[in-house]
Amino acid sequence: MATRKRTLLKVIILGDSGVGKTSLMNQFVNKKFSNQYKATIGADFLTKEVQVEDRLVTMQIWDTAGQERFQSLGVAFYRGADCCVLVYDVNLLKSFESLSNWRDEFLVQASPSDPENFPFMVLGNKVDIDGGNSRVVSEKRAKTWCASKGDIPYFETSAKDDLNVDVAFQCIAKNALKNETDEEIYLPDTIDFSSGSTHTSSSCSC
Amino acid sequence: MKPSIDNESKKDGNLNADSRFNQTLKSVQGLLSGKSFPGRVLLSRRAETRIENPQVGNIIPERPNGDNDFVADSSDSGSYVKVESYGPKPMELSEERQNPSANHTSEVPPKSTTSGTLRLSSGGRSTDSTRIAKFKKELSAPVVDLDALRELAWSGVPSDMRPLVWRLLLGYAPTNSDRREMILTRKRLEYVDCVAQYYDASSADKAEDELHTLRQISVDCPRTVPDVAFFHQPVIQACLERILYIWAIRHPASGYVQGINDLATPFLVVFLSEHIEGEMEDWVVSKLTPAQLSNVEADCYWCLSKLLDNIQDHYTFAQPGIQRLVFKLKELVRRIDG
Repeated sequence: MATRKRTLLKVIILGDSGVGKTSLMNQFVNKKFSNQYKATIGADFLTKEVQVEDRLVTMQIWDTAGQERFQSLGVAFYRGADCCVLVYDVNLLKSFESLSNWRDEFLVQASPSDPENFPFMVLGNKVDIDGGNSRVVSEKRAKTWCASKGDIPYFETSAKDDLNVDVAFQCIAKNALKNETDEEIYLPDTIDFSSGSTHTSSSCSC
Repeated sequence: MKPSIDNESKKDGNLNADSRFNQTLKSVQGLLSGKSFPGRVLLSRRAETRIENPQVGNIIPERPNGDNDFVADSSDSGSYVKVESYGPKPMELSEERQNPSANHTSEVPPKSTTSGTLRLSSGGRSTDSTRIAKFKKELSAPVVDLDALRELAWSGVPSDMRPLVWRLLLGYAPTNSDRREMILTRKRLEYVDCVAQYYDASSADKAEDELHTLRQISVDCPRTVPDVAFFHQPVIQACLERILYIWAIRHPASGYVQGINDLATPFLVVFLSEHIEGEMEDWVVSKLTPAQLSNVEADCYWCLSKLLDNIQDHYTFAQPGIQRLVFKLKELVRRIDG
């Protein structure tokens, strides 16, 4: 393992506002659930190392804002993605109906080289709510949709009860690896504060 | 828009830009070298609303009055970022100017101790009796001098005066005390009418995009300040929802954008503090009369509107206002590194 080069997988999580994108990411990465998340503004990412078969890979998971207003930032966030996770709330029909839009939006903005075979994943979240009695999208309906979009793998999850979260992300990592290419991982420009502070005091001329 | 004003403001902006930028550079270099520690660094556009950390301070609009100001402010051409430190800074800045050679040498510890002490004393100043007297004097004038009030408010506003000071500095309450109550009554009524007309309309009468906006707001209200129970009382949630919805439909260029909900919360707390005693955590809003609550809500709406007027392009498509600020920050860091 030590001789292999480390692989970075970029995963994007998309879906309507409030379906549980941040919760899923935090459950997977930090093993924590909170009822007190704020709305995600823009996007954020966390990383986690996972073992896929005999390889150690680093998953860089991008959590995005659900409001369409932030889709203008999409190009920057989606570029170089290895897998796209579409999340909906099984208790909210609207969030299921949006999946097509999210998928199309991703394909347009990320423009992967082989859109037909790009790995997606669908998660039906919040299955814990009301013991499943308030759900309005059946597993069958979701699976039918997934099948119609090129057999997208589907999991029913609860970020709250940690149901299927690990399994789903393992599968995400596996599928993303299949799609692995030698492309550079895109990272947005960052500003380095640390390097400036050390020499400023000596080199400044004013 | 109005090209003459745009050009003027551009010229004006460019003239001042260099000196302001240099001053900023100096402040930041001081900060980085550890010799001054102002505690807070503000990012703002010229003549635009300044936002302090709402937990510690206040929201102080720099130039709240006058439509011309707003027009000039919204033009992209003349605006730029000003990073400014404040509090005990003026004294330090003048020291640096008088003695530039000593600026970036190594006598760090004594200096930072000094400014630490200054900072503490300035933090305590808002309750200082002479300062309170000055506030009272400004606020009781027949026509409030906003420049003087702003200057005074710069290092903190006594909490019992904060509601009035915020209303004035945001340009919501008129400076003329004779007209104040009348105007506020009229504005509050206007808001109530808006709620009746737009928010209370049945779902059938709302357009699809309006329903969409309402859905988004109703998803975000419960997630606003999630760790403070006060904001989760149904009455407060309903207030917040109405305020955000009315603002959104009256500002179609941006509409409601996630994050605006957070900006409304300091106003709720400050205006409720006029009516409820004690710690916010223990506040029970059911003690308020419907009229009091309605006035608080209307004031929050108008003050939020005034605040957002200056930064609306942070919320329009592709967030040009934010991109500009990021660009300016990058430029600032480049110049400091260089």
